[in-house]
Amino acid sequence: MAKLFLFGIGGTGSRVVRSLTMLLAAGVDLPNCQQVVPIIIDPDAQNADMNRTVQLLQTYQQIHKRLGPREEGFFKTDISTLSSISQDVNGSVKDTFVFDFGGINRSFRDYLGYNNLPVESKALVEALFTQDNLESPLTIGFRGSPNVGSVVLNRIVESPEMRFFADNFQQDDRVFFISSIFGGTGASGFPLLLKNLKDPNTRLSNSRYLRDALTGAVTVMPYFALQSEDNQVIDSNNFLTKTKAALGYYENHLPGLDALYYLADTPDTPYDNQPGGTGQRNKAHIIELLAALSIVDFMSYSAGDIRSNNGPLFHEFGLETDTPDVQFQHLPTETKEQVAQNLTQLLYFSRYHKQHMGSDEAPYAKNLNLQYAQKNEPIFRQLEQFLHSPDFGVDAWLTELSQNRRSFRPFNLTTDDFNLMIQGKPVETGFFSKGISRNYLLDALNTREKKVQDADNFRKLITLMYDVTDEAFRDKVKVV
Amino acid sequence: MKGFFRALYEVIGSPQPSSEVPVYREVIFPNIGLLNIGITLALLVLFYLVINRWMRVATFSRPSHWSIMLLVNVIIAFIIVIAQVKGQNVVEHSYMYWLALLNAIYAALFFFLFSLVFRKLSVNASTTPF
Repeated sequence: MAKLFLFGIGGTGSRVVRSLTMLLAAGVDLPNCQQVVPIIIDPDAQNADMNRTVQLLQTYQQIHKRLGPREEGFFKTDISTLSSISQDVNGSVKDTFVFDFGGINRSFRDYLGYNNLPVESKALVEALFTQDNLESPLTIGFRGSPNVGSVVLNRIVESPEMRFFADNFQQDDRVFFISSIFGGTGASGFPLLLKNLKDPNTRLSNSRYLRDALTGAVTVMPYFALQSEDNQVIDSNNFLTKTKAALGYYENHLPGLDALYYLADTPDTPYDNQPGGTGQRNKAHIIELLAALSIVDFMSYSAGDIRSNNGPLFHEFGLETDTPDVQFQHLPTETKEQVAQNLTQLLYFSRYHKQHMGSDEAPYAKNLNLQYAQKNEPIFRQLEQFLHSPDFGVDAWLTELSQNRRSFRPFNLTTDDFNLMIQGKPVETGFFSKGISRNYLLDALNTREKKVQDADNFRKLITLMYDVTDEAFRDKVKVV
Repeated sequence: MKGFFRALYEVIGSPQPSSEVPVYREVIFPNIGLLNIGITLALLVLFYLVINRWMRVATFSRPSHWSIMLLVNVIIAFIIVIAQVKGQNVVEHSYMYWLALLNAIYAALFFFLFSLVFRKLSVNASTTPF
């Protein structure tokens, strides 16, 4: 069973994993693998972006576990924690999506053991790091300082998690790194991890598989700015300088990489300047969605396609039209075909679930015992959370994407009319056809329910909703 | 047939006035009985098959909607007794209203019992009334 090990490094890593989870929940196909294993690497344990991504992943995992493997449908791809892919005989790897830094609640100075260093080493440390670097607590990450990150993250390779990862790495497994290049954790973590995994002298097991594994990465260049405030550690005016410096390093220090995706955008409205912690909770951004799509793209290539060149394949992305409000018609055809139908289906599902499902007394609802299940069965509450949680749910994600700059606004999220939900593509209605009405969906659910044979009411509901929204899209929307 | 309807409608006693018993037994009872069953079946076909299957209307399938159809059936059953009795020019008697009430009750009963069969043929009302 081929796996994709996905290293989400830093805040951007978490946010891209969030977008990928949404795409997989929508049923977007991830070829050439049966299991995705996200490993989020961020020392900032309180980071709000990371924590809500973890909540989302955990909810997805529960839902998928109940649904089991399927050829198509919502939540069809298996997302698992590292420890769940195999039996951990030592019990040293926690069942979590987040790499365990073991609570590095001390300053970088103490982490280095600065006070015990010989004078020459102290001088070297002072040449490489500012006083602010040395005094900064590692509990909120590296605060945009890759020089700090490159020291702390270098020890990851010796961790039980990395040994467990290597022990369970198999021949057809792939690796993908998600990072930003203009911050601290991502910019330093990506080349370090890559170097360690591809190191011919590594002490990790399965080193040949690791070295030969198809490996891709998305490196997100600046796409947002931060508010300029006095005494703030991170100054977004330095993002471009840091990007150039890092690119200069990447040019010759990315051994064994097969595909590299570059993404960037012109920053618009600046975010609150939060170096980390619970305050770092950025709205979802289209760049993160596109970064998630780079993973889908990478997985769609066969080994032969990827290795046909001598050296890595470099990818960039461009919109059809440069617009501040991106809709489906502004996406290139290939991207539109990848996401438009699935995201629309997920929106229809979420909307129907919120607006109508609780009050449906139709045969499908009665046969699934839906009213009781929604109130009493935990898995139905997990679904409710996945779709509607104001912190991490689908609704919140779509809203954030539509509110950010540049915005991804393919849907009209203010309307209850299914016919008007796709921006710029209203469903045609007439005297004899009301388009995608509640009646249409209810009739389709009742009709379909008689045909789907499944004793599990939750699995049957998810299958029904996928089939019905698929039919609605094909019959009524057709193309976007 | 006549014996069946006579047994059905004489549960509230013999027709009144007694001079009209033959016309009730020979004409009115069979007429109202057949009409009752026919109209009940027609309304059930309308509700379960026409509306909730062929027309694919899925939002007129709740128990409340079924109750509306039942009420319509009951009212029609009541009215057809009055119309039949008056149409046969029998002597007026309060019995007519008791018979109309009984026919309405039978209409409700038939509607309910036949619903159990018809609902299986429906898509959107296959669990109505329960």
